[in-house]
Amino acid sequence: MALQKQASPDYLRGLRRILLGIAAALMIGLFLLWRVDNLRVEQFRASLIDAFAPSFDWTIRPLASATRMVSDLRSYARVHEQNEELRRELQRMQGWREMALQLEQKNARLLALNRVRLNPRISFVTAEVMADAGGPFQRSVTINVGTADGVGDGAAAVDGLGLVGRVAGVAERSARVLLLTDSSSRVPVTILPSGGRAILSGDMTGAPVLDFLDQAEAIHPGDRVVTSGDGGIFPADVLVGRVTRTADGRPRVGLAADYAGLAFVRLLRRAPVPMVTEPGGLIGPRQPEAPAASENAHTAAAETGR
Amino acid sequence: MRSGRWSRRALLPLLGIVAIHAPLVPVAPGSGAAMPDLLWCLVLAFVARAPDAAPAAVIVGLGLLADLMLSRPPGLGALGLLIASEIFRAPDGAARGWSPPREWLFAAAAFAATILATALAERLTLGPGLAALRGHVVATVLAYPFVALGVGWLLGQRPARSGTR
Repeated sequence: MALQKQASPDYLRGLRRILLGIAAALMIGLFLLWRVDNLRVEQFRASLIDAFAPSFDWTIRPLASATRMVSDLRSYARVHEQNEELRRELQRMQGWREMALQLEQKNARLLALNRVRLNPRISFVTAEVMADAGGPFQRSVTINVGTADGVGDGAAAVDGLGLVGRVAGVAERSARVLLLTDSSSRVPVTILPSGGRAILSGDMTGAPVLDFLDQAEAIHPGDRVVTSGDGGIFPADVLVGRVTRTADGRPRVGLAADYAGLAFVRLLRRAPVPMVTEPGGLIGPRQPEAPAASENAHTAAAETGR
Repeated sequence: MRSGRWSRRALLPLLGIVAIHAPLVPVAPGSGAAMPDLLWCLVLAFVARAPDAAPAAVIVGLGLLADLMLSRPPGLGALGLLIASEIFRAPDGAARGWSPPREWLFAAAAFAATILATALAERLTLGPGLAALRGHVVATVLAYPFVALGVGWLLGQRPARSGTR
């Protein structure tokens, strides 16, 4: 290729310059295309990652586990201290366990009394974190499930404890989870116990900001923050974290999910909630055809109305 | 002799793919720690030491792959890398006579300029903001000398040499 000739005649050098110019123009064009037709370029990106990332799995995994081992080794130094701490914690947990068992029994009794049918529409699939976003422009992780596992755009991702983010971009066997800390993440939340609503918006720092608070004076550091379910993307009442106040005076949320040790995430698959849009149909014997139908409908409506 | 030249040429694409994949390793995925742009360091160090083994087509390809894989605005990072590498290359290998500190300074300035330009272009809509990118620039600038040393060692070359072949 002419691009590769270093010490070459003048005309080749000119050709090289022209080719470089074309390449530069194409790259600017790609950026503009990304700006204008974001969806298609992002789909291409997702399929590229889908093709590349799993094939590098065998390099990524040992490296990651080796690095984790080093950090684990460091914590061996404090092993005695940790042991004590764990023992204390265990004691406390046994108390909680007892309480949970009692509550479970009580709950089962109440459910049996009520014959409640719980909403079965949330099922989940657990995915392993395959890759980091690897850059300062986005806070996201790539995970190893995709459309093949029934995961769609917008699915909520949680770890054991709290909300992690949502799926933004899926390919067949991989998907990208946009973390709550990303600057384009916006999640409607409810603050408990005051019940105030707000929008949790990421700003590339560890603790996202609470925007558009409707009761700014009613919140206090330590209040729980859960998703509100507004907007229909996230299910309601998924734990997000606790309110903290930082030096800049804006209310922020300390996230409950363990962001530094993110290895597995659980994706909530949710069938769309059926919406009631029309009044119920008429109940009664099957009616004959059109002309007679209208007056029959009147009488039927009068009957069912009573 | 010929096989040696080809292995020299294969070195940049191979190391480039490693450099693209290194930041993808999920060590602490959500922590958002600042990471250096290793590909940038690698390409510039390569161009400064062995421009004949770093063809522009390979640089463009690596840059585009990195932009797409690392969820950056596609095209701009590759363009910045291409322009910086061309300045390093031209005219007549001038960059190869530079002292290591001068080389480092240029690489740092070029990287900061590229990130700044990318951030400005991103300001058209929501971007991460300059504060979030500062750590990235600092990490890359600090990583450069180490990558340059590594590349020099791999190519078996004394640091600075003036003039072209």
